[in-house]
Amino acid sequence: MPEQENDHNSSLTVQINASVALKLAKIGEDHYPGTSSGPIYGFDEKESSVINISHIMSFPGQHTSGDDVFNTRSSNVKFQNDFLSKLRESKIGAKLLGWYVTCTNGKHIRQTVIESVLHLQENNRKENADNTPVLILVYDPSKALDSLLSLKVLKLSDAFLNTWNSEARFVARNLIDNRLSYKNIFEEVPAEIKNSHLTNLKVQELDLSNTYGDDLELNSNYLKSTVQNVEQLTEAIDNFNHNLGNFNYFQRSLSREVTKVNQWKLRTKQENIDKLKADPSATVTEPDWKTQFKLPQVPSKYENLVASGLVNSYSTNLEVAGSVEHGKTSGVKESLDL
Amino acid sequence: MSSPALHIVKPNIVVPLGSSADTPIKVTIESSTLLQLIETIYENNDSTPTQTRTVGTLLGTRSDDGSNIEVKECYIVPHKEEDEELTIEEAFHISAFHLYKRANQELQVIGWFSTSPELDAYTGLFHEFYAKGSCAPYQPVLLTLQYRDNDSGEIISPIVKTYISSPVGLPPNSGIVRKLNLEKIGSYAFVPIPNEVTYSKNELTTLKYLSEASKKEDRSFDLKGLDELKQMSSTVNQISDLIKILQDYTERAAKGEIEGDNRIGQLLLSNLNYKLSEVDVDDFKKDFETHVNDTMLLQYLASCIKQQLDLSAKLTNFITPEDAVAD
Repeated sequence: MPEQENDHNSSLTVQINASVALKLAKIGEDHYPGTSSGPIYGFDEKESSVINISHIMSFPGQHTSGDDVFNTRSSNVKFQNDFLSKLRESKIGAKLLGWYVTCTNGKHIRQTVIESVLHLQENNRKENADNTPVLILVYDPSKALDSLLSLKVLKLSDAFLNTWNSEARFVARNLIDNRLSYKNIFEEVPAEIKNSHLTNLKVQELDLSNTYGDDLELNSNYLKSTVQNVEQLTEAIDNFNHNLGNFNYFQRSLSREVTKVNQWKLRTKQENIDKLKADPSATVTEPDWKTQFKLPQVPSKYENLVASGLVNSYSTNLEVAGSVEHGKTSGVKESLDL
Repeated sequence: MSSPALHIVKPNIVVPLGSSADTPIKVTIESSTLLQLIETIYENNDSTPTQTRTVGTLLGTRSDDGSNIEVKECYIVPHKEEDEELTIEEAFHISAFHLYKRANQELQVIGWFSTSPELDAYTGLFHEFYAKGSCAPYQPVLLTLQYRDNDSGEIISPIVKTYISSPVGLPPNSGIVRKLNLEKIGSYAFVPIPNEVTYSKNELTTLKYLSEASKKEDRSFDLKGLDELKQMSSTVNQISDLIKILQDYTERAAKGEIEGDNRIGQLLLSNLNYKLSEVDVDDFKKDFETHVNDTMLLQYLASCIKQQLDLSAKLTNFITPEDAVAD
């Protein structure tokens, strides 16, 4: 990727229409504690490098329990294209910008999500010479029950893209060169929620303080969301360990093979020396070891990276939720003089 | 233009033919859908004079007796107004509806919306389209958005009105109509019905930020630095302000300076009825302590996992097998 485009992308901001932000809250709530996903549409202004998200739609057939959050099955791909053509027919200039996911924070770090983004990005580049990054909008509905807003706009990081597009891909040196770690597969894009003039007027008019109802009951979603988070974390760690197990197995068999190769190399060398000693005019060949040995298949570092990213984000969630809870309890403790 | 529609905007007219069973009485609009509706006003980009308004379909659910209607989705349907002819893209309307229905099975066509507050000739024609088409046998609801002041034409906060209709004039199969060969299309009396905006808990959380944005010059809310702890601290500040106000109020009411509102008194009484004698302070302290410790343990474990992960990432050295041999 040329330098210039990186500059262009780094100054990118995303504007989320108020209705989209609100709809997302509603969709997330309807599917909670499950997850949901769907396409987001909008337009980008090349000059000001602002991407505007103007429409949102949820996929039919959501995964409410399974371990994956996202799916670009052919039926969903068709669905998102059909919806886009509907928008265009009603004279709304929009294009597919990416997808939204409502889930526990960080659950979007999945191979399916990453590959869908890569695929769409590649398509955009090839067909329309469009280098705008594909966006992933992540909303965590579990936070909203505690009156916290958790909404992020993400894109694949340049570090990840450079690694992906390079020839050597996910080998240690390449990861270090590109400064890619499990923490920065995705990076946040600066984003804001924008009210249109009319929405602004309407929102000012709505009397929100009146809508809390008649009970002052204190109920926190901390326990429920923590349980869910821990379950997901355990699952993610299992997955990660499985991956690591594969890697250890690979390392063991690799070191065995390497010893064999080296022994074989020494032996052929010795044989050659012996031959030369016996007959100095003899021609010696040093055959390639690759024809004799087959090294084990290397497990994917990419998988490891994604699995690590998932574990990391779940742990971060627990820490954050813990510190919020800690803040609350300390407050109660102080004021009750316990 | 001869208008085939009759405009009677009075709630007290007798609905002649509307069967009471399928007549909607109350319309609730989800706040997220309300904003979507408002944003459709901007989406009428057609500069040709064939459109004086943006119209579209309302999707939602109907209660069993048809009296309550919830508006959940909306989409624009392209149309053309030429002379006295109205063309509505029916195929578009149907296929878009099927798309929405695939995503949410329970959705039905419940009516239509228009960004023109006026009830005119076209309104009747549109209404006919929905009444005879996808809404049958129920009556469609008409939702209008008014965003310009009637007199001054100034932009105002959008006013949402909902209407139901009843056909006016002679029944279409009556003898006179046939004798006179009268064409009777799109003649309706529109009767306003009440509507209400509902907020779900998640919507409220987001709305809180939208309302914050609405007070600012640039009408936007930056998501950067939207950190949970910061959010909590601002919420706690709000609560303590509210408590201060309430305290002040109750004190003044107790002193007799102002007359207290009975409702507030009842609310406080029913919510603050903890009998201290029933709470064992030591037990409570213990439970509380346990909870704090649990929270801290969880945080500690989470940070342990992160450390392990970091170590593992540094130790797991991925190299190509070929490089291993070369070394």
